[in-house]
Amino acid sequence: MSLTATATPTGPSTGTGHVAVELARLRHELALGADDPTLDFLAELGPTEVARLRRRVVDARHRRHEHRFARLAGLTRFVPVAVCARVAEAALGPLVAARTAEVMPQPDAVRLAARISPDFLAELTTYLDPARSGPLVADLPEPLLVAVGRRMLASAEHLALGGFVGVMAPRASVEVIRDAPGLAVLEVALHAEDAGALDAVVAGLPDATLLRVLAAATDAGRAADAVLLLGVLGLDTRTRLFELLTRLERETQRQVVAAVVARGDWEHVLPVLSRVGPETLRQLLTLPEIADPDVVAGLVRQTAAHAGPHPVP
Amino acid sequence: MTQGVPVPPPLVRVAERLDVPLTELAALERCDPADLEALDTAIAMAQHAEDLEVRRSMRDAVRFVPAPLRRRVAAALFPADEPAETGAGTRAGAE
Repeated sequence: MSLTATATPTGPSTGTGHVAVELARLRHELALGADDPTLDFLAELGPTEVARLRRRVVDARHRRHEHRFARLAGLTRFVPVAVCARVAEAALGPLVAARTAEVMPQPDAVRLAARISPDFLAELTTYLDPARSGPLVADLPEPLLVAVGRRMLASAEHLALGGFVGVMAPRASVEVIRDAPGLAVLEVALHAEDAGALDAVVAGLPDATLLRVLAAATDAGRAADAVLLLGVLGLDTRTRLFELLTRLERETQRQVVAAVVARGDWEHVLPVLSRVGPETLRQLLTLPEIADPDVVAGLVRQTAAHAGPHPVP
Repeated sequence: MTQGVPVPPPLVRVAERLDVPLTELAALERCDPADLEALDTAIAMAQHAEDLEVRRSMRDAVRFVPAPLRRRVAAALFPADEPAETGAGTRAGAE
């Protein structure tokens, strides 16, 4: 995690797809600003290769002082847990405290977390590697996770928070983001690394939250980012989102559908059209973005492809 | 790794910095050396910033250790076989 994690938005503000999300994660890892162009050349590699490089960067940084953190963790066994907590907050700082927690025996780390203030835990969590700290986080009480998550949200640590979707129980993630501003929820969702867990979280969010996300995304010109998420959500959740979309202003509906058209993401939308209610379908099909002859032709081609030897999922 | 394609030196440095074989970074071979140089610098700066933070934090933590044990704790955290940190540990231990 970045040494200079700040409250600045870290998401792919231009909404250029999965590679933009991966580049944002790598920039964050290397403490580069969200608009820093240093890594832009990596976009040509594709999201999988950028994710692979980021994993190597994370592993290298975590290995670099691991032996030292292990020794520090060993020393904590001889110190009362309350003193450890005080030293962690007053002297160690969030980076070293996080890395040490990752190598501590899990029960010791859980006991220590219970003595550390949620404010410091929120800071510390931005330096945790979700892949290394999953079991530890899963052992923490849900109220503490929610308290820490809400603090991270307030500090706009959306990228770090997204990394823990799938590590925290979906119910805890829902509690953290259900009352958050729409764009904050969008950012957290974009940076979630576990698609199955994200689907469970989105499914658990109330309609009001999802309506806020759709409206905020289009207001901010980020309909493409909202559409990007459709590709990772399950069919039931996608269907619900399209039902909700028709409750919003027509301009919002048009922007979302225009983003689907621009991305050619019909494979994620076509199955939805066969499941939404008749009124929703009527509204969607009367949008000028869908009524465009070129779009209809593309739709027919994709429908034919879907209806071939493989049934529509 | 592609046979016959010269590996640009910055990519070798990136691999060394990340402690991975070059084959792990094969996808980067086609990138411009100047871009790879910038990537190497970014990784180096991030690692250096983290090194400084770790050293500072551990030095501060040693100050919390009771005086009779401080030298031993500093020696454990900053072993003599790690010259860069020995000085920091000794200074902390001497306080």
